[in-house]
Amino acid sequence: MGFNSLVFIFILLPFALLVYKYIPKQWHNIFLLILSLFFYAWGSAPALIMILLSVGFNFFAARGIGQHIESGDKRTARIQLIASVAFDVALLAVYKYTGLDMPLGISFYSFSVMSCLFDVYYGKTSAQVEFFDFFLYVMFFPKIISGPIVKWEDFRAQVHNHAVTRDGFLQGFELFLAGFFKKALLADKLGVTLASLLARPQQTVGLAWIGVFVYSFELYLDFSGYSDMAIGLARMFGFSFKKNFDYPYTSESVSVFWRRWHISLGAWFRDYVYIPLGGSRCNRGTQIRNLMIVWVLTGIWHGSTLNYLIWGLYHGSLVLLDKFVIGERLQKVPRRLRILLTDAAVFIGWVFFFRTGIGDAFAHIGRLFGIGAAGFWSRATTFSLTENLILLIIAALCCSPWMKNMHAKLTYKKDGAAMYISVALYVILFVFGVAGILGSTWTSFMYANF
Amino acid sequence: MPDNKTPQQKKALYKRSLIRRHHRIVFTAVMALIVLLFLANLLTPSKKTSDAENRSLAQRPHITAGGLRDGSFAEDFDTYYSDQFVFRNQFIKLKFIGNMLLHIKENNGVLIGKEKYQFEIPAVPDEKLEAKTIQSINEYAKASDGIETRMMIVPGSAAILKDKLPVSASVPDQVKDIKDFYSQIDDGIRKIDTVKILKQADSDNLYYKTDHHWTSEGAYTVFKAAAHELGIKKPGRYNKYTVSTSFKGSLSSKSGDFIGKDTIEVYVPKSNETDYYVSYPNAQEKRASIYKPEMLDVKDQYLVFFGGNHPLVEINTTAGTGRNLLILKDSYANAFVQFLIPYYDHIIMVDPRYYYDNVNMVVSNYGINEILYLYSADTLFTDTSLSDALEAAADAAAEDQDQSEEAQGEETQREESQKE
Repeated sequence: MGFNSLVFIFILLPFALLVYKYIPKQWHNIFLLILSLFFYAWGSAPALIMILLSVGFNFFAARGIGQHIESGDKRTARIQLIASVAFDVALLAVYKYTGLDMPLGISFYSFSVMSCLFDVYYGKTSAQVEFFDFFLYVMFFPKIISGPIVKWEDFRAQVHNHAVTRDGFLQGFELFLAGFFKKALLADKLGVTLASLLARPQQTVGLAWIGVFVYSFELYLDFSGYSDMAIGLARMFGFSFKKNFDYPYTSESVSVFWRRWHISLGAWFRDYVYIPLGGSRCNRGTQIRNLMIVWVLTGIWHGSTLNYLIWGLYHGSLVLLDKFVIGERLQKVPRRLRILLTDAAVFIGWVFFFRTGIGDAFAHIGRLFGIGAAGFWSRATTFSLTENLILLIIAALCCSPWMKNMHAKLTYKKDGAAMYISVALYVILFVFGVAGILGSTWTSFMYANF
Repeated sequence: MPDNKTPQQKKALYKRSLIRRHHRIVFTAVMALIVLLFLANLLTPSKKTSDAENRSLAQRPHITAGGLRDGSFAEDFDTYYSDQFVFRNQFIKLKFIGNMLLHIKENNGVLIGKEKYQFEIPAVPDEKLEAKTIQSINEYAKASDGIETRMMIVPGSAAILKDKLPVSASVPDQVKDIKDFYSQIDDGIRKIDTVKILKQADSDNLYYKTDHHWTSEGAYTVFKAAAHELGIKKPGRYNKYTVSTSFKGSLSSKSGDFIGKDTIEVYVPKSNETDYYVSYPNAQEKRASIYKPEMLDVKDQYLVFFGGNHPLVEINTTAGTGRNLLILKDSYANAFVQFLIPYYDHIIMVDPRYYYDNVNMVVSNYGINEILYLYSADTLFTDTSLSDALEAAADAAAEDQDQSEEAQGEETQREESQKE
């Protein structure tokens, strides 16, 4: 089930909130677990068995590692950790590379279970792992499908201590709505636009660039919108997760971008791969090797094709370039220009995501610079631009803090009138969002199809 | 306790209270809406069908062990819930309005133009398919020597009503595509320049605004201008009748059933010297008229012409001209044939998309002496059934010839042996 589905918004969510409010506190976690199992099983019931097996295996692995750590047998713990992680990674790889039906959210929950193994091994949390806590951690419905990849350490700290506060609940709900708007009002429309752009027969330089912008905005609004919904929902049930995106398209370097884009994934690789390998506290050669390992892994985490590997290497090279070669010199360049350069580098990288074949991707990148393009501009290019200009401008503003700041500035003024206008706008946007979801199910038949 | 807060602190406090109030009211309002819609969904009985979408709507699925296990129950329930959602059609229209506000002119592949004109984006010809179609037409023309063959490819509205397209809209150039197609057709086949005729026509009623077909007036415009080329020396006059003013066609359906309505007119010859009846062999149905008024009550009122497409339609007239016409066609022909009735003894309409018998049988059975290809460019450039039908016909003709040659050979042999 997705958070942007009608059944979730109009049935499951109100029901869950109502029940949660009135059952005794000691039942909260049990209810959340049942709710999460239902949420996951809705439409993905066959995959549930795989996730349960993973939970069982990793629970015993974590417990075993914990026991060895407690008894001071670090070596055996280490062997167990490596074996278990290898098993989890192998399972993930089997699904990714054999074309089997992937269990929903496997990339995310696999990383969750490994986070527990690592945290126990490194002593970040107590070596005792309670089965129920671990089960709820893996299954917790706001994060199971698309993250954020909350660390075991962070989840464990609040699993028995997550009182719902009034302010927290209301903030969570508003964050959920904001994410819903990003997804249903902007990302989904940009998706439709992109499909029609890519299908155009005469690909000019202009069209190639419009496509890059449309996809870059779509990806951010889609993914960060979904993360906002997840974090908002968690908040409504008393959990506080760290933010997963922090206006990444306003970063002044690629390194900064990666501290602000899909933050939970970056943190995972930093804590469980980069730092254990020695991080940056080693000689330059090792450091470069470590970075490249992280980037190759980041690339292939995103998908199984060659495109993702190349994309990972591309970003790895950019980070190395920034860190060791041009980073300092770039400091003299005005900040805004650095942001533009960063965005250009990042946006061009996304071509590997939206063009599925390796040849398609390089052909598209070629067209960005006039190689193999059907001219620089065409009438169709003008149309594609004017047709989507308003959408693109709104999307761009939502990719930067501008929209949020402007809203705060205009809304919370001395007299309360502006606030009510904002409330009305939220309701209207919600209705349009629902219209967007319903609109995508519109299938009209000219000839009767009874 | 004395109020010892600075004005800044007070301002910050006030702002925080406003933010809290905002959160609170947003939650109350949106949650109230969610609950209201939830209740409305619960209390509204399920509808069987949707008029706007012209289809049956999903009903509440039954819970079965298998459905729960393989996830199909959830899928069916999702479909049911969105199909039966209260104010579904109004929500769809709202989405349309949202797109208009954002200045997005394309809805589900339909361009919303000026004056409520809706346009289908023309199909880009598939080169291989096109070459195959052209080859089969040319070869069939060679094989059917002595039959006068004509071709009429009708462009879609987007190619003709360019000034009604959204500003700077660009669609594949169908005018050029038709020209290219014609240029590869043998000279023995007479090609009717519909593009030129429609472009020069002084009328704003050549195409429906809400449907992808041409109007009767569009068809009449071409008929009048091309009558001579069709071998009709003196085209007669027609009475025009309006049969519907509430036509919402295929484009309207596709884009969300939101704007515009069309009028359907039919043209009936003024002089009623020529009597005719229409026969639909596969439905074993005979009619005294090519119009089916009962179709004005269904969603697709364009079906008023012949009730839509059939494998084969046979029109038998009392014209007594000795001319028997085979039309290989798509639905564009349905609005055109009304003008041809007084000039032919037999008009046989074959739609290769649904016709699986041998075209040669039609030619020999009805004594066909004229063939007309009447297609919309969109169908002709993307459809494989015409070339399939023609190739099959050409093969069958070649076989027949072989057989008759063999038979002749045997006869001569027999004669020779008799001589002995």
